[in-house]
Amino acid sequence: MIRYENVHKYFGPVEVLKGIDFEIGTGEVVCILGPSGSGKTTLLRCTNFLETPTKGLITVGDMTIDAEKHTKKEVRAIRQLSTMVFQNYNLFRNKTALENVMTSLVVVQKKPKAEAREIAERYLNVVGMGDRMNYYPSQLSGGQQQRVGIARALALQPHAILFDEPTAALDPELVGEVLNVMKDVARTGITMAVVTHEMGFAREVADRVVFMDGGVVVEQGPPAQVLDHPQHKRTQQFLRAVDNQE
Amino acid sequence: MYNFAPEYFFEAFMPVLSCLKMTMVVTFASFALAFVLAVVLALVGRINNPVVQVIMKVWLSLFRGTPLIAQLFLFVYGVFPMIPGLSELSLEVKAIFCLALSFSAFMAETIRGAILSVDKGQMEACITCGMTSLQGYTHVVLPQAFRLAIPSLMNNFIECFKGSAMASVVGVMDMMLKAKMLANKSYRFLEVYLCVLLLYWVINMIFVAIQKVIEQKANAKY
Repeated sequence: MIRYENVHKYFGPVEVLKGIDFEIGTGEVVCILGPSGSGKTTLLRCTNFLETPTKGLITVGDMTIDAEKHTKKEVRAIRQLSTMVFQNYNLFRNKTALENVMTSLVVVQKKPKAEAREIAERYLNVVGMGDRMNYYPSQLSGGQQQRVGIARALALQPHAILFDEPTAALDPELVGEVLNVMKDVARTGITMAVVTHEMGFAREVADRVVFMDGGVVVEQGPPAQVLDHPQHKRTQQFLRAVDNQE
Repeated sequence: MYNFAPEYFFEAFMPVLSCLKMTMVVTFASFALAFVLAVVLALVGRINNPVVQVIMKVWLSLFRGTPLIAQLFLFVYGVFPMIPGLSELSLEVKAIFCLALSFSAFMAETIRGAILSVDKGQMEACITCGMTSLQGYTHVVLPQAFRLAIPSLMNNFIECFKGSAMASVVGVMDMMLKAKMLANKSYRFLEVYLCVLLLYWVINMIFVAIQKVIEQKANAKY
């Protein structure tokens, strides 16, 4: 479960998040949509304190942090409850696909190497990268790198996975392979927060869609409702613009 | 016209080479020590604390902004003898410590630059995987930074090698001091100093060749 309560974030004088309140239930897949600059990526990055929220409460699993009085220890603890899949993959460039997945298992979760390797191999097979385990990121395509990124995020068995525009940097023909892996992940019942522009994915996979604009949540609900019968004018404009593109 | 005497030139090689070991010890020891110090300095420099920042700035500016020869005299004859535990150390070790302090200031800049040029997404990925920043540095960021730093570090190493000759001024019996003694005895400055200069040059070229191999190896990986 992820919950945001009155979350504010300032970058200098600019208020990027203006009081966000919503919850992602355990096992729920929520897609966060919205135009660039609406604060969706910032919100995601506040979830694991890659950005420190200025004000508000953040809950992941059974851990709640008050942004105004957080300790280093709390931040470290809440970070261990989630993992993140990045827009530009951010695979460890000095490590092979296998080592990318293994490293945190050994370093953070203190698993013995043999066990970590076994787990890593299992998850790389899940994302269809079993035959490329000993390749370095530079030897993999974007789609392959992102699948390794998903395996890395899964292998730690976090409470929730945060996807930050995971297909935005991919060539169009590679988007499908990543979305398919994400659909499989969604079926495993893990909590997912997905910032995306993929309307098709949101419609098909999301349990709920949250539409953000200007640092606030404008509208939320089941995908069929928000995407097909948007109530708010801003949502309608956005969806029309996206439709015209496609 | 000065009459070049080949016999003095050739006869200088063996005695000077007999001190090659000391030159190498001073070079490698001061480089290794400077490297460790430089990594620590580069990491400490990342801490956002005004007091730490000021201390770092003064340290780097002091060692980079003053002549090595002045530092050697000050530290080997002045500062180290006052520090309990360091005062009993041999002259050679004191000189190595001083060279390491001096070189570390240059190498810290090299390593700092290399760390900065590692994509910051790498550290973010470490953090989202639950690592501490120290774990992120040791497992991901520093290995990548070192690869980027290899060319500059090799240049730093060659500076160490050449700088090691400076240790002769405080009495470390390396190739340079040996040459100086030979020259002073025979008054054959041209022959003897030409000999030692050629030796430094040849050894330097060997290091440059090794540098090329190391760079190729490091780049082959990823």
